[in-house]
Amino acid sequence: MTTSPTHERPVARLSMVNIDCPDPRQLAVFYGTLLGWQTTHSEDEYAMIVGDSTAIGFGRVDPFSPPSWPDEAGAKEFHLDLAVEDLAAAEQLCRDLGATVPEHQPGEHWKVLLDPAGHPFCLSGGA
Amino acid sequence: MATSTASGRPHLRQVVLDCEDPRSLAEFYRQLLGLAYRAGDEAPVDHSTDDRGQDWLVLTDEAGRPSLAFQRVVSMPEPTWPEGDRPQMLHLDTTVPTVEALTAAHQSALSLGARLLDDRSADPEEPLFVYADPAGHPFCIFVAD
Repeated sequence: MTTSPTHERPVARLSMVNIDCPDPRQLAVFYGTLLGWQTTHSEDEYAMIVGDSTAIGFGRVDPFSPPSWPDEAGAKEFHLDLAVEDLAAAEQLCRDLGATVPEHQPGEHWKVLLDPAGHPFCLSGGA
Repeated sequence: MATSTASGRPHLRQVVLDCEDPRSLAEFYRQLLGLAYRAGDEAPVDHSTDDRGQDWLVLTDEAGRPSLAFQRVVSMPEPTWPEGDRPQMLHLDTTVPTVEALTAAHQSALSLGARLLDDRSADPEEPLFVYADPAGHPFCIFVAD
């Protein structure tokens, strides 16, 4: 196994992340507002927001079953980590935008929230 | 992938992929995307236990910013794509600059352990390969500027 800590010549470049959801417009508004990113596509089947160095796409899946939380069935598969300066203020902003706060919170220094489609994501300090 | 904001808004620090073996999945994406381990996350060079590699690993981009992270879960059945009862939930889009680079990237991805799910490389408008990574998460490689 090669374990060089240096950046090697990449095979490909990570250009964007695509998230499945039942309502792409809704999640584009949620994450676009939260992150302050520009919406470049907003359609029934697909929406996209673009930040300084990457983008997030939202693809419509029907039917869509959100993962459970806690993730006992291993259905979460991924989550986004969002860094904030003020955890309480950011949590309130997320709630105002339609996020919910599940009862199960595995850590003391970060907060797990569910986006409007039910994907768990984390808020943590150190922005 | 992350830029600091002074507005009080969150910024996207990293995308975290669930997997049963963080070290092996981190190695795959480290080599595919030319990322580097966060300081301290490198695999042990002696025979000590790879505690971090069995828990949580972070890969950083050329600017040293977190990009992808890998979180161990006890069980993560592989997503099925495009159909089946285990949805992908997300996929990563990766790009290369030319069709020639796509051919080379295809061979590299396979040699790193990617499993081909769909070959659309003959598509004149958007030559594309879809793969499953070693944990089963689908990802794409296609040509883009």
